[in-house]
Amino acid sequence: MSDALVEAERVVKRYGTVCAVDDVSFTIDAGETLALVGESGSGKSTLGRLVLGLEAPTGGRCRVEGDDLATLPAKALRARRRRMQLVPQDPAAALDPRRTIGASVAEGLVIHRLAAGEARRRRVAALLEEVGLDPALAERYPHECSGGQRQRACLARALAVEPVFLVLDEPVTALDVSVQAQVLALLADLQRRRGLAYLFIAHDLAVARQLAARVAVLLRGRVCEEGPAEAVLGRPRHPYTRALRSAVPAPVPGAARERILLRDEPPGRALPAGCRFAGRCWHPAADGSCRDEAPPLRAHEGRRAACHHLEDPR
Amino acid sequence: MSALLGVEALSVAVPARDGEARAVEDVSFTIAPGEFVALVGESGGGKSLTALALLGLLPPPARIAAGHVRLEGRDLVTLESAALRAVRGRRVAMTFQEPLASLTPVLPVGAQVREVLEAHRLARGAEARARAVALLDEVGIPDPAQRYDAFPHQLSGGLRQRVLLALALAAEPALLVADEPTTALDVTVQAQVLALLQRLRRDRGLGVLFVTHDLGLVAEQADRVLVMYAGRIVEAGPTAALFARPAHPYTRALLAAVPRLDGPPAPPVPIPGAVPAPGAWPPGCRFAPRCQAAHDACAASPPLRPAADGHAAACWLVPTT
Repeated sequence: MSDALVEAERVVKRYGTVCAVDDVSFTIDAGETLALVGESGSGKSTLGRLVLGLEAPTGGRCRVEGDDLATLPAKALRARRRRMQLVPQDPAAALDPRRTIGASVAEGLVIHRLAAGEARRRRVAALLEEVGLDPALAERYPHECSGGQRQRACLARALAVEPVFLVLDEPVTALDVSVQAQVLALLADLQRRRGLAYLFIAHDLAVARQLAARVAVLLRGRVCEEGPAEAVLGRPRHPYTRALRSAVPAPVPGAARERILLRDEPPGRALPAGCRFAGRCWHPAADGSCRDEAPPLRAHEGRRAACHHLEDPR
Repeated sequence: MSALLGVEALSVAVPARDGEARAVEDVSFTIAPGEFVALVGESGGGKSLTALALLGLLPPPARIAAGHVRLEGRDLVTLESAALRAVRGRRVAMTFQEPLASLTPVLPVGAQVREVLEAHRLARGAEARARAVALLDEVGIPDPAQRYDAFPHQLSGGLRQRVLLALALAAEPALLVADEPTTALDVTVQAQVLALLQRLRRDRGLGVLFVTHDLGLVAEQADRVLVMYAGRIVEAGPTAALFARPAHPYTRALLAAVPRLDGPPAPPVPIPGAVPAPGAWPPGCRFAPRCQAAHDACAASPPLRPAADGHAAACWLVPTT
């Protein structure tokens, strides 16, 4: 056991015959950001829910501050939940349309009995200010706010219970680029001031790079590459990460860069026994061994990657 | 090259606190056959209203208050509704950001494509079915004959967006207006959809108006870029020149807000504040309250004037040519 704030150890999650998360391990230290990147359906959001104890793993363990969430008694788990919060992708769906922003932000204060009456009102105003909102917004309803304001309100709600760890599930995906930059700057600022640890879930590598020192790339439930952001995002080695990187549009006309257009997953086909990428892999060296034999994560050029053909430079 | 689309001094009026406000004001641009033009700006700037106005699809009480929309020489603004319906779909088509809202949930996607063909009397019966399958194939849907019978909820977001494209392309329009077609998609799927649009304009000579909030997205796609802020075009020009030397402070701000994967780590720079609502637009340059370079002259409204490299920009600070 490590002294990491958050630890996922060989976590598996199955829904019936579908394996959403397959043998994933990672740690996050206090004040640190790990980005989890991958396409829709790769298991990113499921992992986020598992490390928060919102779902129980089928195998493996999720520990927060050293305690296995699955074995914590209900009361202790509830208390522990205060220490970690989820900020969801769609702030419009996450806020109750019939409650004011202030009531939504105060929710955690009420549930955990942290403040009442005038003290609660003052606390809500301070939280709104901390996330860059006018405290007068407390009286407004979600539909009267912009997407950026709603996402800030979701952050204020999460911060109300003084967490040490946030799972940020695509927090800027639904926002305009200009507002995205505002929210990313706010997240970086809050992390510095409060010493928060983040699990930052994103499908956009350029967004992930802004907050994360470390990145894990998730491919159909498995980690295929992980390591320092500069290595994984700057010089990706796994063919899947290389394809993801090449799909990010460069804001420079005529930029010289690798261009890999991935095929869709062929419909209805079962997961290959070997590499999860075998059915879509573009790499010229891909062969029968990829389909039959799962490549283990192994150290390579300053990161770990799971591919039989890492040494082939093509 | 003769224009496929010519928009002249288009204004769109929307209800505001005291009567009406011009949410789109004096917007002019052209699109040639096979040309890919990007309309870029933040939400609330009038991009989507402009797009809807082109097709006569403004939700009432929003209305075209002034101007012309000439498609292949015909002014759509003055067209009777029956004649407009015949043009819509047939000569100009639109796709929307959220495919689930544009597809009916109760019909298989193939039947929806076939419906378009039959509505425009382009094919019937078995031939309509065969053409619908061919269209699904053309937009890159794997196993199109099987997917023909799939319902929208059985498809991924990327496949649904492609079904929308198949619907839009069914009647072989000359112009496609695509409103944020990739915003809800994974980057890998986004890359596929963008590659598809490029192929369609190459193969079919399709003109494309691509509406997006992400200036970075269109650098590799567009021939020309129109930057829109608070109802007005504030900069327009060929893509390479506009990215090499963005003239308007708003264009520069949009570009600085794009998170970068290339180059040394530098956080994206937010644009402070937000686009004001129509009716609450400041006099003079509308970007001035958010502009770091604003000065006394900005109290007067700057016209869109020619600048270097074939650009035009509406900013007093940009030297004219």
